[in-house]
Amino acid sequence: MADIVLNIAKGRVAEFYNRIDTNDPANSAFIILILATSGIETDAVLRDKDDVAALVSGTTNEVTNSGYARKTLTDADITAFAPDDTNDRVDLDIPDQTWTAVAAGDGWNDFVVAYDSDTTGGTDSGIVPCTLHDFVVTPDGSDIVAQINAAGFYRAA
Amino acid sequence: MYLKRLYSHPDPAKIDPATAKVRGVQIKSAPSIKHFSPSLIESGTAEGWLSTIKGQFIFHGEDGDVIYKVNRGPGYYCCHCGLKLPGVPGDGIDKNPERPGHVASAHPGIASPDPANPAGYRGIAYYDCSKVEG
Repeated sequence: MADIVLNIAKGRVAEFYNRIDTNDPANSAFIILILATSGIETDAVLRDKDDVAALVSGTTNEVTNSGYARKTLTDADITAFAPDDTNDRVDLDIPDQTWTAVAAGDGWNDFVVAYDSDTTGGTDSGIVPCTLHDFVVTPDGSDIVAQINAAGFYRAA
Repeated sequence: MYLKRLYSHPDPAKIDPATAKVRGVQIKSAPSIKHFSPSLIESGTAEGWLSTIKGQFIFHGEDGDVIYKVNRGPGYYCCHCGLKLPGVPGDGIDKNPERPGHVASAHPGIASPDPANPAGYRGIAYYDCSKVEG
């Protein structure tokens, strides 16, 4: 589950997930990106960021390791939307994510799930950061797997 | 994909989360292409609303079955030629030289066709499926 839900996304993540699942709008997707250890700002600072451009506008940076690229998760990629009517909540899940042959360089600190309503737009200012998850890794050329919590990456309750 | 789990008691107000049993699912939407996580397949099988038969996942919805063909399972694959490479993401072997070795020997000097996987091979932790019925 999320270590931080950014303020801009509170109360919205389940609906973002549903919008992607129903292709509304057609080019909506979750974007997965990684923040570097060096220069990372505090949780209190990061949770106030309203878009991905702002998220990396301070001393916080996205990693630049060779072998790293953002992941785009469309309706095909996200797990089925299935409200839990016994426990009265919605757990949102995505598959584990793999980056292959990631070279040494930036240390990895946080796994970010962000919502892009139009992946053809191409601007970070249009991408809403939703959740941050501790993900501390020192790349060394190996494959890196982010294992998502069995219950999912976010719980709306 | 939108699934609604149906429970053993008709009155949701009387369902006890500790003892509730899933009796099936309603399939409210099912896209043509879907990447199913192993955990969903496991839970569906355990709860009895999903069967795996001859390379297909059959979702037994209350209003009828929806069938997906499994095109490929979790593992590593070459982005250039689609060849299955050794290992599965999360198997604890994060550095298998055969994976980059295949890309270097079979596709030397060619940029990865998949921008999300610049190394030329990808790891997928899901079942890549396409709907065939339902």
